[in-house]
Parts: sequence; C-alpha cells; structure tokens
Amino acid sequence: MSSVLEMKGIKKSFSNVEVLHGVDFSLEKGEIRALLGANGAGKSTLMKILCGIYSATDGEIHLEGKPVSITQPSTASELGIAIVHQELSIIPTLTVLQNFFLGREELSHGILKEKEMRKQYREICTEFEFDIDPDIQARKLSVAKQQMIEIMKILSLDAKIIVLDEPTTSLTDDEKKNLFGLIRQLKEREKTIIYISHVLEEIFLLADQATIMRNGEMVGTWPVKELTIPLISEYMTGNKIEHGQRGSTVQENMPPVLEVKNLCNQSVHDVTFSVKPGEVLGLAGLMGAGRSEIVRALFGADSKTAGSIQIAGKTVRIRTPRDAIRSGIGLIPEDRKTEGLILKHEIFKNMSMVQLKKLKKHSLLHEKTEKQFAKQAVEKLSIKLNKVTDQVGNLSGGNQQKVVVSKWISEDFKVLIFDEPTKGIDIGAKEDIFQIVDDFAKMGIGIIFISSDLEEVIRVADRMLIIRDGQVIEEMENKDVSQKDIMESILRGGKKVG
Amino acid sequence: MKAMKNMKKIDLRSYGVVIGLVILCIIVSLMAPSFFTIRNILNLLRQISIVGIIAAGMTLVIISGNFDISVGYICCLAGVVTAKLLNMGVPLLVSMLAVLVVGALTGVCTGFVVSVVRIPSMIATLGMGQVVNGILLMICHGYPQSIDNDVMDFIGKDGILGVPVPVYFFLFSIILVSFVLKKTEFGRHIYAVGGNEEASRLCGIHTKKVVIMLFTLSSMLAALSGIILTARVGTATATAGSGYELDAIAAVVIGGTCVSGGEGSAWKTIIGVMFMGVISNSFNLLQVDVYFQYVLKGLIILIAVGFDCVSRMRVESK
Repeated sequence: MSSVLEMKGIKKSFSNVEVLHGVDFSLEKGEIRALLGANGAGKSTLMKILCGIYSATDGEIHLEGKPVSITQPSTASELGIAIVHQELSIIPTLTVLQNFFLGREELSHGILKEKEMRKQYREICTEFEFDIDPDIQARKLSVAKQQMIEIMKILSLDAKIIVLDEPTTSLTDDEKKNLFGLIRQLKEREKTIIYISHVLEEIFLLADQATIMRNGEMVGTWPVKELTIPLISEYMTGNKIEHGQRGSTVQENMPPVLEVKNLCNQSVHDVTFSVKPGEVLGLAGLMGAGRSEIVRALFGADSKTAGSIQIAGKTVRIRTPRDAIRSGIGLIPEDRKTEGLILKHEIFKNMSMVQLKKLKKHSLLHEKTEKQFAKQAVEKLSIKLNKVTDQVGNLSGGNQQKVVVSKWISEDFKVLIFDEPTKGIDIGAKEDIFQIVDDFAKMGIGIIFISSDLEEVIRVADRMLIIRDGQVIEEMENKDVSQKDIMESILRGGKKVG
Repeated sequence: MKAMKNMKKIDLRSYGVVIGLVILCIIVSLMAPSFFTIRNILNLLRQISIVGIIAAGMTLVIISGNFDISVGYICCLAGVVTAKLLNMGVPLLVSMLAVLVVGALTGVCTGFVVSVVRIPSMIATLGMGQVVNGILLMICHGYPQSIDNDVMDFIGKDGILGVPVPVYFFLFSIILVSFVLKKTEFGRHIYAVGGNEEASRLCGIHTKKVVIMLFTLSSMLAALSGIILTARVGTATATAGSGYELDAIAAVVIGGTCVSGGEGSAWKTIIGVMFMGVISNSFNLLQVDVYFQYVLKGLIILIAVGFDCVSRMRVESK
C-alpha cells in the first residue's frame, strides 16, 4: 500500500513551550485510522497542523509523495484535507442549501445560481443515498443530520483525507450506526479517515489501525486487532515515574463536611458523594465527561433539577453561587480568564471581590484594608508581582490562578472546589498550587479537585471518583492506584466485571 | 514593563481630553474675547448643568456595560409632572419627592427588563423611552405647562455666592456618583459587573440587583434634571429634554469612560460635559452655523471612541 500522507519530525511550540516533540505520522490510502491519547497528548495540535489551523515550528509534510506546505486552512482544503470539528460550523439560521454552498456559492455575474446549486446538491444526495430537504433551516435538524451535511459538504469538495474529531459525542445509537455506515462507504471510495474518539468500542468496530500519542510524542501504531483495553491504557499513560503521593489529611472520625445526594440536571445524572474535613476528593475523567458540570450544579452556577446538599450535617438550599458562598462553599472555576477574574481590574480588587463585606470600614469601602488583605494573600500564596495595584491581566497564568485562589482565603469556607487549577500554568506554579491544596486540607477544609492530568489527581487526592457522561462510574481509594487503572476504568466505563 | 506601558496609555487617554479641553479654551478665548468673562463662564456652567446631572447617572450605566437612552424622556416626564403637581397646589417638596419616586420606578422597570428578562439595554431603554414618552404626552396632551413658584424661580434663575443654583445640583450629582463608585460596595459591584458579569456572579455578587439599582439611581438623577430644567425655563414641555440622553452618553464617552464597561469615573464625566459645553458655547459666540455643530459633535464622539478601540486592538494583538 502507498502512503497518502507522511508527517515527519513535526514540532510545535506555544510561547517557548514545546508541545509536540518531533512527531512522525503516516497514513495509508483508504484506511480508517484511530488516533488516541489522553488530554494534552497532542493529537488535536497535530490535526490542527495538518489542517492548517496552526503552523508547525519544525518538520515536513508529504502528500502523496510530494512535499507540501500547509500554512492556512484554505491550503489544506485545496489539497483535499478536511476536518469535521466537534463543534460544527453549520450556521443555524441558514437553510441546508445555503450552508452547503457557504463561501463557495455558484455565481453568474454576482447573482446566485440557485438552480445549479440545487442540481449539485441533489447529485451528492443520490450518490451517498441520503435525503435532507435543502430548504429546511439547519437549526431544525438533529445534530446528526447537521453533521451529515458537514461531511457531505467536505465530500463535495473532493477531500482525500477526512479528520473526524469525536464525531459521536452527541449522537444516539441509531445515528451512530448511520455514521459508521457512511464512514465505511467513504473507505470503499478510497478516502482516508482519521478518527479521534475516546470510545474504544467504536474504534474496535471501525478502525483498521490505531495510533497512540502521549505527552506530545508518538507511542506507536498498531493494527486494532492486536490491541486490548489494558494495552491501550498502558500506552496512553506510560510507565511514568510518579511523584510521591500527598500525605493524607483526612479527619476520618469526623462526619462529612459535604454530602451531595442524587444531584441531577441536563448534563449531570444522579451524582451522590461526600467529602470529609481535610479530605481531597479527586474527580477524574476526560474532557467533556461532566466533571465541571457536576461542581457547577453543586455551586449553583448552573441550575439543577434534583438533589440535596448538606454542609456539616445541615441541609442547605443552593440556587445561586451567592447561596453556595453563604453556606461555605468556594469555587475556583475552570476558566480563570472568563470566569475567575476581571482582567482589566487591579489585583487587589480581584482578590477582595468575595469578602468585600468583611474588608469595609464604617460600612464604606476601605482600600487600605483591601490592600492589606491582598498583601497577606500575596505572601501566603507566594504570588510574584510588582504592586497589588497592577492590572491582573498582566500577570502570568500561574500567578493569575493564585489570585483566583486568594479570594477564598478565609475561615468561613468549609468546602473548596478546584476546577482544573493547573491548566496552562508552568511547573513551578503547579507545585505551588498542590502545596496550597495541601495547606487548605490541613486546615480541615473539604476539597474537590478536578484535573484532566491523571498524574495530578493521583498525587493530590485521598479518594477519587471516575466520571463519564455526567455520572460517577467508579469510586476508588487512592491506594496503589496507577494512571493506567484510572484510564482503564474511564475507557471501560466502570469496574472490571468478574 | 508591560504594566508600565499600559499605565502610560491610560494616562495619555485621560490627560488627552484635559489637554484637548485646555487647548480648545485657549483657541476660543483668542478668537472670542467674550469667552473668558465671568458672565460667560457662569452662563456656560448653567448650560451644562442639566445634561451634566443626566451624564452623572449615565456614568454608572456605562461603567456597568449598559446604555440608557430613556433618560431624555424621563427628564421631560419629570418636568411635566412637577409643573402639573405644582399647578394642582401640591407643595413643592412633596412634588419633587413624588417626581423622584416616579423616576425611581421607571429605573426599576428598566433594570428589571435588562437584568432579569435580559433584553439588551439599548433596546430595553428604547422601549422604556417610548413608554415614558407616551405617558408624558397623555398627561400633558402636548401643551406646555407653565409654573409660578418662587422657589422654582430661585432654583432656575438665581445663584448662591454668584454661582447659578443648577451648578450646585450638578456638583451634587457628580459627588454622589463618585462617592457611590469609590466608597460603596454597590459601586465596586458596578465595576465588577461591567468588567466581567460571569466572574462577578461566581463571586457571589447579586448581579441582577446591582443592575436594577444602578438604573434606578440613574433614572432618579434624570428626574432631578427634569425638575431643574423646568425651573430654569419656567415652563415644562413634552420635548424640552429630548436628545439629552445622547448628549449625556457623548459626554461620558468623551470624558474617557470605556464603552465596553468596567472602567471609568465621575470626574472623567465632568471633563466630558465641559468639553461638550465649551464647544456649544464657543460656537454660539463665534456664530458658527448650528447645524455644523452637530457634525462636529458627532465627529468628536467618533474620534474619542475610535481612539479607545484602536488602542485596545493594539494591546490585544500584542
């Protein structure tokens, strides 16, 4: 077989941090290739380079033997490389036909050639045996049908290589079957497919070969027949030397500080758990597994349809973040820039936001007291900055994150939720965050810790919940647990049977 | 380093307007010697006071990331209601309080539709403005209401220590707004909501209440300006204050308060109001075509906001 694509020695750095370390990747014509890896392994960066969204720092790409340079998305599509993103690029208010020809309308003297476009659309429809009314508004279609339109659009552009990025996340079983049928049809027509998914059953069902990445490097490529779930988990997580685990600070004999029962909403399904004083409960799962959704529902940031919450034995009603804070729960949200900080405001004003009431004097604001509070926090969390009156947006990611954490320094909080606190921050700051978590735990605060990096969860947590599809699928005491064990649980969807 | 650069940029922006104002004053006084007379300055201050009071309230609204284009109509309504009540024999103080309450109620409604129903404030206040305008016309049937009240005459036409009374009301509004913004928790929350509403909500700030309160305060100030306007003219008409909302927005923006919210101050608004006032005043002295004044005012607004937008783009692209 001839290789249709060869990527050699691909490197990519973002602001001096290398995330792809010289990756080789090749595809054979007409195959379905699964691309696997944990969050941050580099698979989406690699695909974005292939599709011209990013340009590689180093390395070369050969297409059908010829070297090509893909500098922007339009070059990629001219070369016959197309990607179907998880978030579809369909415009909901336009009709199917308008979407189908968007940006490449058939024109004669600047006037749309409606008939011609209809004819082309019908031809594609008959060729692939699908049938969607061209005049219906796209938003009235199911996600599956919208996805079909997007794939069809790509096919009409004569794509040779098609990247499908987690295409089944919002599809029903029947819709999945249809999609798989279509993918097999494409294979028959000698199209090459790169299929990214975390659902291994699909990969065993569909793919010819699987390529596994880890930490920006290629682990290898194997025929799917030779792979098993334990093997894949091992390749995905590696046999990294793990850091020593945090010494336990759980106050075992105390009653739980937080008890959540049957928490439900649109994306959270019947979640029940408890946290003891001084305990760090890790929520592990892949991106989009519903971890953030669980804590947001708990915190009152999203609405919930059912569920009861008890703080230190007392049932509390939490409908807004305000209620949660009053009951003693704090949240360090997932995205510090859009949810955690007011970037154009001064550092000390960001820090005092939650506890402003306590920092007032004679019921008026007192900036001096606020600055004192800020300076204490700066010292306590070793935040690197010039003045507390600087804009918070000018700090580095790690220091920004510490500013978010500093809002919650108080004896009033009994439960603190850290949602991806280490995302996008440097190693030194990460260590500091772990230390801060440990300090809070020692004070007897119950902590919920979310991270996509399984190693971190193992390091920090006393106990962990494995989350998938907004449900708790397994609970593990963090004793001799390896990353591979967690990954296996995630991929398998719960405990081993038998 | 980066922080320093940013500081400089902000300072340049706020000093820019002050420098512009000074240069403008110098040029005008050279061209029209009557500009720098005490009489003209006092007259100028009296002229800017009414829009200035509205602009003080508008500062709160714009810092919170919203706009309010209903305040011009609220100003008219307040004027007409004051005149009606006085002519019915209601004591002045009671009439004024009643009018402020009417203003507050409109503000509560505006705040409610903006924060709870989540209609974009531009559209919400467009609607509210029409409602207020309609009620106003129903009350006065389009006829002017003249008043005959000594205290109102004093407010409108006399001065204390030589300074016209409306100027004191203007200063009071600016000091009130500045105090709220700098010294109260409510004020800090206005900045927070304008800077990042979601982050504010996650910090436990009652964002809806903040928005309702600030629209209420702004509408009350608009009502106050209506009372002063009626006092000055001696007659309330249904159209006396129309267009003031745009002048107020222009003054806030020219002063340097950021239209995207989260930044700004009442003192900047004073500068903006003065800038607008000097332009109108000097054009009258120099007998420049009134219609051309609109063209120039429009251009100044575009330049002021354009400057902000361009410098923000530069910061972001860095």
